[in-house]
Amino acid sequence: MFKFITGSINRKLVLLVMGVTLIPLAMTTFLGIWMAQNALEKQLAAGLDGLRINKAKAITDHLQQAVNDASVAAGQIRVAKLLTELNFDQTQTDASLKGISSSGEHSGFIIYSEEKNAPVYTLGINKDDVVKTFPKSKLEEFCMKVVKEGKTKFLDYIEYAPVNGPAMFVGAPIFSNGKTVGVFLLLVNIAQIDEIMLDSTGLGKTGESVIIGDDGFMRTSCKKRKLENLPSIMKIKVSDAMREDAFKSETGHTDFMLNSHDAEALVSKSKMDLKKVTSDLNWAIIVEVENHEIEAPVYAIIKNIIIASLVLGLIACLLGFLVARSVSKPLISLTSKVVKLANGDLTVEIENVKRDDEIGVLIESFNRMLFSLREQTTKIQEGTSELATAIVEISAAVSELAANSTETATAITEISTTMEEVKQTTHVAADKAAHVSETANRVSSISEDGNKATRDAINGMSNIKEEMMALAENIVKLSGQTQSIGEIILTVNDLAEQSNLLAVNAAIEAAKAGEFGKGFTVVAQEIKSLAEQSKASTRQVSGILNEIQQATSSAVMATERGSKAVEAGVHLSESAGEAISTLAESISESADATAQISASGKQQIIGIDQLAVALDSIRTATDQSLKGVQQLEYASVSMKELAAKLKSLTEQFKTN
Amino acid sequence: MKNENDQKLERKQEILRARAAALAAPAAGKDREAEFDVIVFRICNEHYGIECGFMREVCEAHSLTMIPCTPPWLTGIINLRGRIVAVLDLIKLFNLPDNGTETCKLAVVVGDHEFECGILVHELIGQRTVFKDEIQETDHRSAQEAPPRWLKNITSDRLIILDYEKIRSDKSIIINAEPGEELM
Repeated sequence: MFKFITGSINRKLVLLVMGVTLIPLAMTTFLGIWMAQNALEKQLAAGLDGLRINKAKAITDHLQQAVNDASVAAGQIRVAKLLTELNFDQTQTDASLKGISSSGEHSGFIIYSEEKNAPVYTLGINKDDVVKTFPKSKLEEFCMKVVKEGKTKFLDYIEYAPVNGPAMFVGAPIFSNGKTVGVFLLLVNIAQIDEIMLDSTGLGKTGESVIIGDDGFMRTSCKKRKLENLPSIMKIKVSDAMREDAFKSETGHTDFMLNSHDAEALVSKSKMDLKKVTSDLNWAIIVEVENHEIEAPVYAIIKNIIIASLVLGLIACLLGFLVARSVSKPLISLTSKVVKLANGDLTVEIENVKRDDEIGVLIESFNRMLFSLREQTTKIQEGTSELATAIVEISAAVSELAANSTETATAITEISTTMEEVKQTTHVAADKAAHVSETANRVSSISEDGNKATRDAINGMSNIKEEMMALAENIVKLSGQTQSIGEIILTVNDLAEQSNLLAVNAAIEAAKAGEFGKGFTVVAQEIKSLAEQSKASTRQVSGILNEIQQATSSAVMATERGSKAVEAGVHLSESAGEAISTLAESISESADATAQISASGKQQIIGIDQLAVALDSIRTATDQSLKGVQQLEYASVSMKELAAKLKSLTEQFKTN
Repeated sequence: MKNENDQKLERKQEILRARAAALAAPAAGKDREAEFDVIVFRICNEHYGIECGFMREVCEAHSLTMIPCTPPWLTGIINLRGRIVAVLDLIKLFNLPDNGTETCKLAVVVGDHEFECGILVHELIGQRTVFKDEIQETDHRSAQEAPPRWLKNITSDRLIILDYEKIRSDKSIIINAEPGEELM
């Protein structure tokens, strides 16, 4: 049940709203009822007190009346005469005494004669019954007490047979000649007292008021029993607690206790103040109202309040449900998504809600978080696979390294044997170096001669080069001159043509002259043939000139080639010289070098010894590194496992 | 290689030339009946001749003045020592086959005291005498191969002799047109 409520924010919120509404309501209700009850009780108590006081006064007045009536009746001469004169007339007396109880307030009276010690006269009561029950009765005792004390007294309720029920008497002494001769016994009208007490005005349905004596028996009727026609006077006794409480004070007080019907009731009670009337009666008055009647309005209020509370609770429930739903609906959808997310499913999508409150912000932030989480997870997955491949590579590399280390160890052993051989070889090399040094010195002097020869060759080549240059210039000049010869030939050719033209014109003119011009025609013919000859000559010359030009062109090219060849020769001889001098230098350097070689050979031997020591330490280091590599191998294996674990971990997240 | 080819060609030409000279020599030396003297010139690949009597002179055709609104065969006019002479282009006039590469540098001027005109030629060959036995009948040749209008005779060595009288009497070379009129 508890889990059912705490498991849902919706139910929680509904419950909360209900609690917030109903708890103050309940508190207010409780307070209101309590206060209302208190006020009611106080008011009722005051009412009960007032009633009690009024009733007590009425009773006191009634008793006072009885006392007064009794005293007045006793003081009448007729009464005294009745007792002193022996033979009084019964009927006459009746007539005269009827007036005493003419008011009708009293039930009747008895006159007691001290002399006869018996009742002598009765009114309203059967005389025979009175006389019969009188001897040795409480009434006789009472009469004697009144005679003895000589003052008016009350006889409390007794069971009196002549009236067939309870009765109360007021006894007043009858004086005659200063002597008590009898007692006037007034039968108090107890029905009237009962009536006063039974009047339940202002008491409600269950309200009751009774008078009790100090023996605890009721002096007036109980209302309930009266309705059922049951006698209660001197028959019903109140509880001792009630009696004691009632006789506690004369001012009276009100509280709750069980009444004679064994019901909880508000009871106002006090001892009755009858000192002014008589000291014979010790009575208390009790006014009570039963609780259920007092509480009836309170219960009505409670009923209304409960109905109101139920309605309010229902409304609160509805309101709470609405409020809770507006809050919890997005939260519930979010929760389902988050549950999926917790199971590693990152592909969930949450539709954005257009809300400005914290829930909207929450959903938006959640979306953003989801996005970044997805990206990060994807990157981690990529990283993990990269890591896995890298580790595989590393482990391969480590295996290789291990193999290499083993190889290195064997290589070192080989090296140390080789080194011994090297040591031997170095000795031989030092001897050879000394020999080479001598040879190098000889070669150096020879190369010096070679150097000189190449220098001469370079000089010769330079001379040739200059000659070639001059030749080339001349040939170029020649070529230019052949060009001008060509121009001259053109001019001559032109002249020949012109003369041909002239010859023709001359021939024409000659022809025009007829016979006279015949000789001129011959001249013209001659001129023409001359022109033709010169033309033929120019043709020949130009042919020769063409050949010359071709020859000069090839000569120019040849000289060009020649000068280039010479230049190349110069370069070659120069580089030969350089080579020879470099050779000489390197030979002397090699001589120096061989000297150094022989010196360093000795140092080498020392170095090789040191190398052997170093090799030993390398070997130990290699062993250590071999161990290290093995550890590395173990480490790489565990890394591989780790990568696999990591991969399986990241693969729990679905991103696509 | 090239040179060898050239030399061979030259040698062949030389042989041919010598042969031609040998053949020509006896004809010149023979006593034959001379018909008339002609001035021989070349237009394109044909040799033409005109009788010396109708020739005025041969001049260089370098200062030709072109005349607007004239037929294309009238190349222009030249000032020949104070006389204005029209120069004709026979290539355009008779639609002769022309290779178009050679320029005509010379003009042959023909005429008498009434008429005068120049003919553009490629080369002046010279004067020669035409003998009677050389002249062939015009029937022997196709009319299409020679200028039909001005032809007088053709010699056995393919010299086309032009008739001055035909040139002179040819109305079609007289230009008398207003500007805008259709030209011949």
